[in-house]
Amino acid sequence: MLALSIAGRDTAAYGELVRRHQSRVRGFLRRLCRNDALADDLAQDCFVRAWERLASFRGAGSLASWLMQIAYREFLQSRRKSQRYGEVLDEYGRAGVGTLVGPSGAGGGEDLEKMLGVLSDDERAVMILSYSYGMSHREIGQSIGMPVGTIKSHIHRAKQRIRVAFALEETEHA
Amino acid sequence: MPEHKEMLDDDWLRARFAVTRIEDDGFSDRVIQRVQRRSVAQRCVLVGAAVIGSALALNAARFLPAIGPIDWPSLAGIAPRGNVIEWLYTHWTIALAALAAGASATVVSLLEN
Repeated sequence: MLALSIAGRDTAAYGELVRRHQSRVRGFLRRLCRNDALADDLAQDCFVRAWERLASFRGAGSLASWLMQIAYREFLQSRRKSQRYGEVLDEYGRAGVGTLVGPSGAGGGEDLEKMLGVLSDDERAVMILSYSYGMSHREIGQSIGMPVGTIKSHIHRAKQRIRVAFALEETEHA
Repeated sequence: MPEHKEMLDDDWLRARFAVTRIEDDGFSDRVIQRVQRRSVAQRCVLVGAAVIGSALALNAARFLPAIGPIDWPSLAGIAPRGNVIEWLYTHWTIALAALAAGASATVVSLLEN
């Protein structure tokens, strides 16, 4: 019913859709960008773009996957176009290497930032969608437009990078 | 190295990557406002394209020998007398203009998307 209302260009129904999915899309972009304000700007762009492209949504995958796909494209486009995003992400990368604060739970947010800092854009996106949102490899593939085999490779490489980057810290975990 | 194995464990990663729900702090309202503003702007662009397309089509039609000078009062909406179909037939520049306007609007709409 909601989908029908949205297809009829009903902005009130679309508002309901935005309310349902805003947390997931903003959370994904915040983790990709590391800057809440930039991420929220991108999330707005994402939902505006989604409104314009509603007719192209065939219902082949889930609406959440489709929104994530648009969000990731917005992120990549912004990164290419804007020096500001590049600077923020470079800073993110520099902060990446170091030591983890504590075991699971303690220092989780700070540790996550460090871990994400050592990953490439694609690896970061795949890891967030997999471990933050519990999406299957197939759903991730639909979201960021990659074959399942590539998703698995990215996850494998991301784990390797995290393991190598924080190997020295592992004795302090115990 | 048990800690090393723990690091690669999916549960360990899930715990690190765990998300908290982001409250809607007016975000959805801002999105809808942008969508509505954009819709209005797009309509204005379409109307503008239609007007310009019509003007261009009429201007081009002026030079077609079969049409000759345009009957501007009729085009401006002065009610024709007699059969409407006949009037449209004799003033087929209107149909041409409508076609051009539609084409312009379609092109603009496609470019917007």
